[in-house]
Amino acid sequence: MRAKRSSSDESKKSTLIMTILILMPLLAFFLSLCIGRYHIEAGRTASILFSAIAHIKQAGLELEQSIVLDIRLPRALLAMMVGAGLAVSGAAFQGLFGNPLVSPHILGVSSGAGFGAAMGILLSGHLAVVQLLALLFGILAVMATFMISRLKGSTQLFMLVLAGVIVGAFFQALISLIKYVADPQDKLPTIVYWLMGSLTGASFHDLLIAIPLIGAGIIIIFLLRWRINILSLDEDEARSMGINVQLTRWIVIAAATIITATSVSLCGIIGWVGLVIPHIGRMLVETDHRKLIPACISIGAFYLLLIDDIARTATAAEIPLSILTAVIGAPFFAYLLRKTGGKWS
Amino acid sequence: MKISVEQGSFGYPGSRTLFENLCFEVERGEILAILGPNGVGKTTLLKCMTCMLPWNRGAAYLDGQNIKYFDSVDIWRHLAYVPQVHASVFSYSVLDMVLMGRSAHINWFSMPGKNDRRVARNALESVGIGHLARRICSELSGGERQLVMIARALAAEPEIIILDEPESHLDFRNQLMILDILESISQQREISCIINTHYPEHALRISDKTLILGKECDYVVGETEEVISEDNLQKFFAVRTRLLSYTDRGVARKTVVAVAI
Repeated sequence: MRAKRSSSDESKKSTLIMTILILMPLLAFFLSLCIGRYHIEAGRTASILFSAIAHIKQAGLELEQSIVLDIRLPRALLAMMVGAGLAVSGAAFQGLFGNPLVSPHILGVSSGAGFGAAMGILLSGHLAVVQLLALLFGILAVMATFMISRLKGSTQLFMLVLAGVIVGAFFQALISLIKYVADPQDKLPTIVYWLMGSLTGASFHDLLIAIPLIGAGIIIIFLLRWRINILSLDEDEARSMGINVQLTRWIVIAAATIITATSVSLCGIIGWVGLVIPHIGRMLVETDHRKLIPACISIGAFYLLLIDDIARTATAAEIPLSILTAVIGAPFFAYLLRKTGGKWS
Repeated sequence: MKISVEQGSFGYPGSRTLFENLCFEVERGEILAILGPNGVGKTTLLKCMTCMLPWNRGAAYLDGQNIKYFDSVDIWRHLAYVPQVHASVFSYSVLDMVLMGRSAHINWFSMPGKNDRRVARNALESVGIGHLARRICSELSGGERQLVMIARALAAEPEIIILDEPESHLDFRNQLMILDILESISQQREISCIINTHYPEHALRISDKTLILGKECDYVVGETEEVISEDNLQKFFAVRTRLLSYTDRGVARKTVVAVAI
């Protein structure tokens, strides 16, 4: 009898958590459309959204319409995509490496992409060039990591991590070099600002890049989420479960790389999300990646939306995202860690 | 299903040969115990047999077919492997852990379904820990954790289970419990078991055949009763032993006692 009651309590609890996980990002999304330097009431925002969906032109609302639909909507959507993507890549990497201290940046993708962006800013300054170079070098960096770590046709995980550290350090040095030679009046501040991450100026054009690339990465990891459980076992143990460990691992890495490289190319390096959100996910649901990955999509989207809302409303000038993700995230995470005793289950 | 090794030889690159011209076979439903001093390559042998390491010469066969030519995923529909117990970083629930054993039967982008959960639950019941299904693995005792690993192997519905020292770190009672379970798996389901062990008396208790690996690439294999002799234990372990016979509830049994080194 007691066992029965506790299992129904458990399912009640998990339904509650699921409802919260679904509602939170939606509420934050709507809130993000309302708030800003120009405050728009919730009712008006709703009617603007509704008329946009129904293709109705409302007279007298042009300014607000343009703020909500052209500025805040793409920015909020991009924040959700990037937040969800980074959180999912982080969870996938932590599972794959069987190490809760890993973030999506471990294989050098962000340093590579950051270098690409910095070089783009230095050489041309044209947004499309910057984005393309960032994406390209992010992927190149992970390919270099792959090549360095591969011995006799297979890769040991510790080799992979070491190779990632090497590649990351190499591109970090190149970034420093570019900063050193960049014009301190004009180019240098742009590069520094970019490397700290920002969603300023997010447009529908950005979404056209983000939705297919980040979306594809998330979907691949989502579909493989049960297999990430198996990847988190010891190498030989995982093989003996009867899956192709190397191939599965590389598909997950490729998906996470696309997500992270795309994020950096669109909004710079945003730290912390990929490290911490998976932990918060594990505290809420379970280690089981079948539940953890969907939870990370929700929490990641919610978290970056919230951070970005603060970034654009807290002060007159926008605050770079990496500063906020850590300044707000670190104390919150410290609190959670102490409360749960750092249990990863 | 019969598993056999013919002229198996292996040594890690740049180090001494561990075994040479190893030949033995395990028939359906039989138990083979592998004994040998520390560092002689017992775990390595299991890895060679399951294609996790390549033989230098010779091969392992499943029903006469060279395992090397099996698809690397396909093998695991026939074999299951229970590694030495170690703590893992993330802890899954017992049921999730056992479900992982189903992966050789589940397609790339699929999840375990109703049938897989049923098989996993049956596997848990069959080793007597159905009530632990919802518990987290890291909260379990060593004996219970070992049972979870065996249940996971059973969930793969294999014909052969290979276990690396399944009872070494367990207490007196739990050791017997594991041995009894292995015995019943082999007798009732006709699943062959290959176990590495440090205990000759465990081999005497449950195994049909025994293989003892020596440090000089020598070995002896055969019926357990013949292989586990005072002479062989002296030769391979340099331990003076006495074989003792006793009767328990009408069953004549043998055990071995280490006397001196």
